[in-house]
Amino acid sequence: MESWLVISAIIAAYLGLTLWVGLRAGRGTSATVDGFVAGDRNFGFLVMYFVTGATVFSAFAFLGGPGWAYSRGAAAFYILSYGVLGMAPWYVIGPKAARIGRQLGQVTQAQFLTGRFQSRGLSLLIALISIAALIPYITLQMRGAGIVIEAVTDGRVPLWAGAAVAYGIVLIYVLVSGVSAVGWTNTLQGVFMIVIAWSLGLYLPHALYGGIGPMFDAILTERPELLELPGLNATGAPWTWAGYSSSILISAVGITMWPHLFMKAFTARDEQIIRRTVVWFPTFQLFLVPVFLIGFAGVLFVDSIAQADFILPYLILNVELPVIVVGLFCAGALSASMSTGDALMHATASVAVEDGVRPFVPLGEAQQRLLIRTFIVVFGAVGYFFAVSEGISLVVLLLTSYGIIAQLAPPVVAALFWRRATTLGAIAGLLAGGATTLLFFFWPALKPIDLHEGVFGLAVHVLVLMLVSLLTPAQDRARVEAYVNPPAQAAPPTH
Amino acid sequence: MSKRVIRRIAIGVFVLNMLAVTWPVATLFRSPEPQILGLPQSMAWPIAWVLIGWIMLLVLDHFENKDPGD
Repeated sequence: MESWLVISAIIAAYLGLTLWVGLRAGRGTSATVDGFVAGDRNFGFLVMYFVTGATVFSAFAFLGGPGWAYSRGAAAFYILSYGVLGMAPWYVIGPKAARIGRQLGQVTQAQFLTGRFQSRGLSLLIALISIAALIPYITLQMRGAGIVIEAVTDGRVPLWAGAAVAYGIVLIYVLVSGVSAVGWTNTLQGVFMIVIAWSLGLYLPHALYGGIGPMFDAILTERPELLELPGLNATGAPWTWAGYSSSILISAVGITMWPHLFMKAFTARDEQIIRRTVVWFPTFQLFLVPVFLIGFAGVLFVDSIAQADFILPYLILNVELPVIVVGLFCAGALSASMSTGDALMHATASVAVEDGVRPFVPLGEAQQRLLIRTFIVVFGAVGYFFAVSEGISLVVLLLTSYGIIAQLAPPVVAALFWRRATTLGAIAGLLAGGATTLLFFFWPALKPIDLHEGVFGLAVHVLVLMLVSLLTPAQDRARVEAYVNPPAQAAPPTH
Repeated sequence: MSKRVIRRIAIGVFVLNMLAVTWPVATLFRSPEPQILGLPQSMAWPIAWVLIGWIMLLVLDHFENKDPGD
């Protein structure tokens, strides 16, 4: 049998298994908005662990991670540095947000924020920011899936068809089972990603160089600049320490503020599960080690490649690997793409309805669920349109959106810990921080130093939030205490 | 050891973590040499901090669960 047929069969088997798991996942969930968006707040530790890990590590990490190590060397280590730093505060914030969400019936980040800072305008603003940041992210995942399938089938299954098949399946299981499908498929996909990344990360250096140590010895002799911090920038010149350090800072602040991750706080069965997920997150973070080893394996083996992100499929196809390994790699890459893509599509549609529409138009339960499902299809179609269109710099859009998403951190922290914060302060801070980030993104020459534009945005944001809050009347005491000092969680029901 | 002390230690460790992986402290570990377990020092340094962060979270969680009502 021709190798591309074997690979296609493995992909088909993997996709079939994912669909089966996704469809079965929603069977015990109630037919309510709470069920569709927050899984009836009943996710256990195993599912939460994989939801968090597999959602964080997307096609961007699986393909972009090796690409960065290959083309920018030590610069890639910033990705390794921010994950645990960013997740650690979630040990405190996550359970507190979950408790408040449970008490006030919230299922989205904007509902959480507007529970303290009551404003329909703020809800709409957060919805718009979230959707603008999430759509490029969805597009990247779809494109990643299409690229991998096109590469390993030698172009017989083109990008548009690969992306359509993979995301057609995502669409079916998310539409049918909601967030429960996201949870259980991410568990399957998380296992795939970890096993395949570690297998390839250990195998490729051995196959090409005789081991990890000899591989780095060889790179040190030929390309020593690649292994010295802070690595290289996109043009191949040395990256600045300011750029490297501020990328760690802004990513650490932004990581848990992504709506598709933040909203998962509302899916956990109890607060202890969120804490345990944070405690065990570093084990998922170590997944980046083999991912980088794969990229470094390409340094002396591949002279140049048009797009660094293709280094992993390129190596896979040019090292004499058994065809079944190539097929499994493909399943791993699809897992990385789909496990993030499904959460993104689900979150984007939920945010659009719950935060963009419902504050303005009263909707019944059934209407909300129908509208969320409709928006899943709409945003899926928009993402797909961009994914198959050429010439749009999505990576740039995504990096900018990190700066914007990080702007959600100050109001979240203020809502939970600062009694004197006010609605006007929160709105003014968000507008000022977002505008500053966009200003320095579009006119980088205006930056006083080479820091990530989101850092300037955060500095302005915090200042404006504090000043405007102090200049406006304090909030009603009961509302403040419901957030700063929420009543203890009731014991979970026993089954 | 009381929970309050452990929480302060945890905050201290993560502040140290932030300082350790960014400028200027990270410049002390910029070089790929010496290699540690076959990995360049510049890569082993952030990995070490992932492990330190993990251990800190395990210790914190252990103490938090000893007496959840405290």
